[in-house]
Amino acid sequence: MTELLALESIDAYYGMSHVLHGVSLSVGAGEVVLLLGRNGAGKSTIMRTIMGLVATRGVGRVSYAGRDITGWAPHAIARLGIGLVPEDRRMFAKLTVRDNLELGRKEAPVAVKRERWDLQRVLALFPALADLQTRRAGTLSGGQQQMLTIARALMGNPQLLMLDEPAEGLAPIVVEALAHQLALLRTQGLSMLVSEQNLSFSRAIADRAYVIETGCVRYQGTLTELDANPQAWTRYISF
Amino acid sequence: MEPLLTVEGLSREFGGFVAVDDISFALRAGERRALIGPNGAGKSTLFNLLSGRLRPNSGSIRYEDREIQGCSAAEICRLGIARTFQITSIFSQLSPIENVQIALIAHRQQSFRILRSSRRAYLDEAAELLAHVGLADKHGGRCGLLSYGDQKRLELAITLAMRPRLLLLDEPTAGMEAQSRRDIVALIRRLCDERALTLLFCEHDMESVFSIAETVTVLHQGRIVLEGPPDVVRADEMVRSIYLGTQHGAAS
Repeated sequence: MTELLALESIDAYYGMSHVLHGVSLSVGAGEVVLLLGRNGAGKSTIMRTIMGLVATRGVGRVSYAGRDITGWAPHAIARLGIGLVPEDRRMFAKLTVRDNLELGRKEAPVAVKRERWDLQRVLALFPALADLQTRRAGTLSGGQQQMLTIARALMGNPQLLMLDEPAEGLAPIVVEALAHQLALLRTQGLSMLVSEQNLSFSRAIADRAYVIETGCVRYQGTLTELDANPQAWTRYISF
Repeated sequence: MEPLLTVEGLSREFGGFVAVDDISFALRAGERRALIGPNGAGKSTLFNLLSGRLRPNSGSIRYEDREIQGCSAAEICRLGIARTFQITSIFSQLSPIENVQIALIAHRQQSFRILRSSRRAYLDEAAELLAHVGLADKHGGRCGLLSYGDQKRLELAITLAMRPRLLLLDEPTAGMEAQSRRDIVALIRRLCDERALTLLFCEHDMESVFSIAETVTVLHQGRIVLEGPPDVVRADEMVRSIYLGTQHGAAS
């Protein structure tokens, strides 16, 4: 499998706190990779580092589609086709749902064969948003904001989609629909890096997983390998 | 038994959008009730109305035989209704014990005095509350550095500092991995039992809902569409089609 994203020995800090310690991981083209680990393990920081929102220090390198993107600005990284759905549901509260979605619009590179995401298609994925198009985003409920954040990221037609706890705060029936859609996206070759506590949701779509603990990669393998290793489950995840 | 809280005909709209639509229900003292429903059903708005952060357009809220509709959030809190939020709300630059001390000071309506240090105020009581939620060994350091599960525990300790009779918890297990989730669920059950608390909570994790709640109220488009014991709600065809989906149906 062609490597799309690679992190090599990444160290990151929040002020004086050393939060990522020599993290190396990769996502292949068309691969869905899961980040597992407890709250505060460093999963969100890994995504924020890839997006250029957290600076790395030291010799570590982030590369994407063969280019070294270490130290790039977040907007430049976004233009390469990396989309992030952050855990904290950032949106333009004073703008309407539709405007938020339109702002996320970016055409996919011509080479991408996947079906393109547009307004119609994201609204079909989240029918609940269709009725809310003229509402200001700030008046949406928490779960609706979560749907909007995911829909907006899809509007950017990313090549690599990073989802930080996408199922959080969503009604069970919406989680089912989302899992179904992500599985569909996977068959269309979209690469994804997903952090998710809801394992029944994330296991179904993932190829491989990394277990993160206190800012280090403790374990990596396919989900089949992980399943066959109860010690790793108990030690690192204990779900 | 007389209900602790009685809500009648409660409504609230936002610019023509009716978020809470003529809701009536009663909570008896000691009851543990879950509020579930699709995203945008009005759960958080209802919480905001009950805790005085929003005023209703119409309807009444009676608590211990007293009309509290129109009371400020602070007054309602002092009467014994305390709440948490979907997003963890603590002072992240302060230590856990300072967070609880501030809650105790605030609840007793004492303000910080410039010339007198508040560092020692209610220290023992704060320590006791921290121990109660399982944070006995975590008094110091910045809260922002606590694990997420511990921040949720701290939030409960802060809430208990208000000496509530009625607890309103908005998605208490959101964002947690399974083990922490189970720990918090056990903690909530224990706190309710030990302190004879009445509980109303919103939650999307069905395992947590069904292991805490005695009664489940289902909200849809601002209205109560069903109310009953967990197994009745879980088996209900309509609830499955608007909210639960296939995974959490009767068979599970």
